[in-house]
Amino acid sequence: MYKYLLLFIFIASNGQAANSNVVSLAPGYGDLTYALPKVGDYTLPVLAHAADGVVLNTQGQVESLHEIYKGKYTLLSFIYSHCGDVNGCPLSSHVFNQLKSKMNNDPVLADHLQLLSISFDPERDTPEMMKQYGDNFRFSGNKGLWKFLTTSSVKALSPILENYNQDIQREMSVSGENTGDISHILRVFLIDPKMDIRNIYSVGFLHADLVVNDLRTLMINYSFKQKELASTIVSQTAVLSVPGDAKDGYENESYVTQSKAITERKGREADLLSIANNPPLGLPKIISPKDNALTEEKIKLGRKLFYDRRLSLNSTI
Amino acid sequence: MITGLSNNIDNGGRTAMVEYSNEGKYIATHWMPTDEKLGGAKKGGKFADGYGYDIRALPRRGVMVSLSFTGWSNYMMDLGKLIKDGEAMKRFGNTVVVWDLHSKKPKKILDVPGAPLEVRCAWQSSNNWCVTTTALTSKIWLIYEDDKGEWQSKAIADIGDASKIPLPVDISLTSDDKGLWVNTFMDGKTRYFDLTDINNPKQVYEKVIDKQVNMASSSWDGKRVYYTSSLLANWDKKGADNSQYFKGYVWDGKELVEKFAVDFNALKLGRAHQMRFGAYSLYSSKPKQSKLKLAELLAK
Repeated sequence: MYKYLLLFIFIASNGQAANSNVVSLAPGYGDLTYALPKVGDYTLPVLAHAADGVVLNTQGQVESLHEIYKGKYTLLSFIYSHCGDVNGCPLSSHVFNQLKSKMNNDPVLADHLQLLSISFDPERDTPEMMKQYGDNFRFSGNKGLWKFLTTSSVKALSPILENYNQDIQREMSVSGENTGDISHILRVFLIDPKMDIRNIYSVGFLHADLVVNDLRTLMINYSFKQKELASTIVSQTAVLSVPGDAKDGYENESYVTQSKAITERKGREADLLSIANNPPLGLPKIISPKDNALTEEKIKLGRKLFYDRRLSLNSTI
Repeated sequence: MITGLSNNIDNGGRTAMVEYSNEGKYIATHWMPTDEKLGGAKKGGKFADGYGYDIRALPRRGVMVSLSFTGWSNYMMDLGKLIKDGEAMKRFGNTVVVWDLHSKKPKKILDVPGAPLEVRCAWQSSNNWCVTTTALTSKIWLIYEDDKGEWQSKAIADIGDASKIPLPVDISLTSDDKGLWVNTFMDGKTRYFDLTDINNPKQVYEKVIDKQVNMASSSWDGKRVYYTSSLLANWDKKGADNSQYFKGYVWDGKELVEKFAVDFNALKLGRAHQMRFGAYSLYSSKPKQSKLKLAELLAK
């Protein structure tokens, strides 16, 4: 398919001189013709929360979008395999292919960004068809993740399209028959690990360089926030870890009790998830199995069990 | 992106653009740069007035262009009184701001004296420019990127006799960037400028549309031009001169020929202003024909 796409682009770009009706190629197919703002020198405010949805992977297994989004930056595009509008789905897949290729030489990109292509033609784009479609891009390398997803039916797809404000129009022929073409406005979503939409790229703006610029900007901002949070937690933890009935200096005449009332021995709980994700200097990264990822709920459970005296050998903590 | 005429604290004209999502969620406020708060912008001339009005973008160059015109106080004043009020006449904008489209930060403030009102940016990929007109000085200005990639401004043509204040209002750029329709409110004329040499536009045609005219819209193929009448309730002419209409013309490159006119006064429709031709129903496939009619057609 990608081969055919390139051929089509070749024909389209070479036919321009002969046929003025040929559509101009979107900027995403070429080099950016202007300087991007400096990474980290701008903000990408939250546009909306990315909605959940039930999708099928190429194995036909059910997955939830929120489960997929967790812990990663995601670039999400809606496509369909029969799409022939060069500045529509093929553009999105072209840019995704470029990003996936970049991941081979850019481990940060490969580790933090994932690509999702969801079909809005579930009747023709079965999991098997999406697998075949995805196979066209197999030469982009094996680093990073690009998932090809579909849904079980038009009915199952409908709430996802509605939540992502993706209006589609099934094209009809003059005789009123369905042509198989689906008219839509290209919208590609950049979603952060908190599942917030941070940018939406349309035809005039979708470009691999711009996406990478935005991703790095978000990562810098996120990294700063994490560092601030981690340093706050470390200092808070140090204070809170002093026993409420500390007796340091008790032997001196000048000793003044440092004991605190039970009601005052409360503080903000340490954000163990952030500390686990960003271990203090010198500590190794915590290994988190893919099928048993660290979550806030699991940490909460661990904390509860840790303080449960019934599980203690000598009935103390 | 919604442009404001002013803040609502003093209505003095210091204003911002406010960004919303398609769903209507507030995203951010981007203040127009002033001398006190340049926001990282470079001053290209004398002025940094902080006024805001029209806005356009050139995505392929990563820039957005905003115009200053005037603030709320002047905009809401009766035009006759305004022109006679010396102090109020000082409160018109003299700037065009070039922004980084992606970061939404002002890059450069250009001097464009005389209340720049509407702006249109070139459609063609080789044209890195926008054009605007100044309401008070009656000129066409070019906002362009020079050979060094620096954004600049310069006056490139006069519109009628500036001393008579024809008051250029709406403009419409043809899709090939070779022609510009310029309406002048006071004399009710539409004027066509040949932009083949963008540094030296020539007026090649003019026609009186009515007693007053504001908005102009050229069709994408350039063969039709549409006009409406109302500038603003406070600024429209009074009495018999207050014509209110929507008119459509055919343009053959030499002459405008009226095809229809809707008299908003006679039909009591109010003041005709914005035109939008984006209805999907105008572009969808032909209506489905019944099998019987289709069979009849085939039989013929």
